[in-house]
Amino acid sequence: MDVDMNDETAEEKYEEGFGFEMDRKPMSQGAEARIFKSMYLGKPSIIKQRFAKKYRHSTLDERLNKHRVRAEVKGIMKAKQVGVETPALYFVDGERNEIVMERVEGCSAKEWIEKIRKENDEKEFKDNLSSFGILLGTKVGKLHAASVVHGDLTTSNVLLRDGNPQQIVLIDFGLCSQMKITAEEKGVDLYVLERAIASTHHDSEQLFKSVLEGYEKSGGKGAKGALEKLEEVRMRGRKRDMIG
Amino acid sequence: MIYRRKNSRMSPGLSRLYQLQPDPYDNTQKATIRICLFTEVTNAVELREKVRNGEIDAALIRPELVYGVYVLLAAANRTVHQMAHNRMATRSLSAELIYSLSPSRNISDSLVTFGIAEKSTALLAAVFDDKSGSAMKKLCKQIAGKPTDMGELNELINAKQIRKIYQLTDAVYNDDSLSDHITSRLVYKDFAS
Ligand SMILES: Nc1ncnc2c1ncn2[C@@H]1O[C@H](COP(=O)(O)OP(=O)(O)O)[C@@H](O)[C@H]1O
Ligand SMILES: [Mg+2]
Repeated sequence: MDVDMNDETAEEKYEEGFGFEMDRKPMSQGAEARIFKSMYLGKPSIIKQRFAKKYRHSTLDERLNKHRVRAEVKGIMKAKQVGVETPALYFVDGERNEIVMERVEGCSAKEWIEKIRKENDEKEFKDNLSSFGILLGTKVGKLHAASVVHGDLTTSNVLLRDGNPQQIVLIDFGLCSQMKITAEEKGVDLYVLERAIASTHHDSEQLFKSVLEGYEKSGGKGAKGALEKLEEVRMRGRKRDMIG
Repeated sequence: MIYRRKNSRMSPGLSRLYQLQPDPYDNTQKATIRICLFTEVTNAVELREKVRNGEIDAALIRPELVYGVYVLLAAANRTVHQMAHNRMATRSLSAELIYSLSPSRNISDSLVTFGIAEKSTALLAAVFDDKSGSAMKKLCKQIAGKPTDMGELNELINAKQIRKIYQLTDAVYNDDSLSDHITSRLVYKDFAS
């Protein structure tokens, strides 16, 4: 039997394993963005969609969204370049203010902390927080040394690949700024993290102490100045709290 | 059973068809790209000339610089997206694809780096919108070389040169993360400055 190998129909099939898919329901809905699970050319991904906010003037809103997408793309890339892990960028739609990026499987630092609180005894908990905090502080130190301020450091914006506290992946760079960064801005970046930890995790002072330890160790030139500014910012914060 | 090939040079099944989405997750818009790897190519000089004078409308790419099909498809999807929004930096989809592979914003440098060279003996041919495969078949007749299974691409990759071009020299990466870093660089290009 002769088989005609040039049969046209034989070639009309798409290669498998490189598809596009997107969940209909978001896995996260924040004030600024929705996150959907997706597949991008066969890779597990998420799509971060910044939507229009009705309460903001539409031109301003559009400009802000574009600015945030830009800041996020640049922050994610810059962090990679200085050895701080961030999700891989797969696609950006500048028109629709969407970023498709690698889906990091695991959990957030926030979830991990509350999980080990349940599973560990007091000493283990403290030790675990301590070694994680030092590593996180080192990462923040590296970013600051490269003149990147994250802008929204919280334990939700720190992901742990495979739930492993040694595999930190930083996300949510929409508020980050780069270049001409002052010691004050770095101090505020740290302060934001301190407050976020305090309001999210009770009895976790050890964590931020260790963050500062790691931060100082990673010691870019500006680390000392930033820590001094942190102290100033704290003072101002306390005064504000007293006045109410 | 006897397999007979009408055209001894082209055995179908060696070229691959992939689906793209100009606006990802908008299923109403679709695009496709067909890719075929050629080895033992002996007429690269002539092929370059034909690309230049428009006789060939396909991207002819150096396979040694393409770190896997995913990277090529990510660049291809950027290409059809830019096309759909009238934002191409070059004059044709084929040139835009080659440009999209490059981390550089210098168009002519990018085309020289990622397009085939006079000395090339292997190439990746890519054609957009060729569902039937007829364009690839026509192209195949002009390439003095052997259509080769895409799986062979791994053997041709020059990882050292790729790391240099994408400035990934210091860190150690496994295959997946290297391909992810390359894609990140490509996406970042449109936002650099
Ligand atoms: N690359 C990612 N991989 C896995 N989960 C992610 C990724 N990016 C975001 N998420 C999840 O979505 C949540 C919100 O994303 P984020 O970028 O922080 O936006 P928001 O500005 O709404 O906080 C994160 O806290 C995390 O749980
Ligand atoms: Mg967040």
